[in-house]
Amino acid sequence: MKCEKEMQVIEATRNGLWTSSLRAHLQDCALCSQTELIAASLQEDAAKAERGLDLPPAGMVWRRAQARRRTDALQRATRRPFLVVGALGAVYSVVLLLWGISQLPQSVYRLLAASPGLTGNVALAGVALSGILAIVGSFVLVLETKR
Amino acid sequence: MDEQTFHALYAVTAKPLWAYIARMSGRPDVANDLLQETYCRFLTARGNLEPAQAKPYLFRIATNLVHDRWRKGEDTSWSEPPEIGCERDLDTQIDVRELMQQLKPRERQLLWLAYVEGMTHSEIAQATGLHAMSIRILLFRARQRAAELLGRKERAFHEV
Repeated sequence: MKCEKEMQVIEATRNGLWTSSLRAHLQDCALCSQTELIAASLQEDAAKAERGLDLPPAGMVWRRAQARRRTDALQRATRRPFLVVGALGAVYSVVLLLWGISQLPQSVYRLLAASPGLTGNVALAGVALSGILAIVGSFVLVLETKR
Repeated sequence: MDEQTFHALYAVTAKPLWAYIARMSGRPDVANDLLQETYCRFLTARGNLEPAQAKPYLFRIATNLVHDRWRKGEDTSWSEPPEIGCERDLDTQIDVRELMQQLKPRERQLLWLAYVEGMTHSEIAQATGLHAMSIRILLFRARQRAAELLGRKERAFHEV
């Protein structure tokens, strides 16, 4: 399945330096002659592709990479404060919600439990919704800054 | 890596890398962009690598970029138009191009890295992300398929 001279054949196809023993081996070894056929075809194609090629100048690529590096560094530097602000926002929202609930007088609970009318339900839903939105908003902020 | 070292690395690797990207993607028109992106990613992520170690890593980045294009559906087929050349060259060119078209992307990649770049199995493993142990068998299968396709073409030529 593998011939030990395969690498030598590939190298010889690349640099054109064929020894007589390697040439003789090529006549006897089906694997190596296969290798030589494919390698020569592909290498000719590669040489053709590289001929007359108009590559972007190295200096331009270097400058582009440096600009990218600076942008990445700036993004990394600004990401941390955003993360802290997002996390603090989330904590603040949760604490505020808990505090708000604890401040509701017992009479309000009784009133809501006794007569769950339209006003009571709307008020309760409003409090719950604003709390949820505040928490979700903070998490979105955290996720966005993380990204 | 300083600018001078990069210039030297670029001079040695840019052309083969361009040819690899162009042949793997089948899109010479986007090869320049992918080439620049490859070096940008290399310099921002692994700019401290020794030039000798850089080659497989550059090919790895280029491979990932080409795969990304396939995944996003930006390149769905082999779309390279045939170039004009002398008759013999054109024959060879069309042969190789047909061969590349008929091979699976992975086969194309392995054959190119092994036979054009002359990479060892461990270097190919580094460049492709495949396990070094599987390179040997995958390369063997790819070579058999390529030889079969080239042989079929040759037989058809002699019959005509």
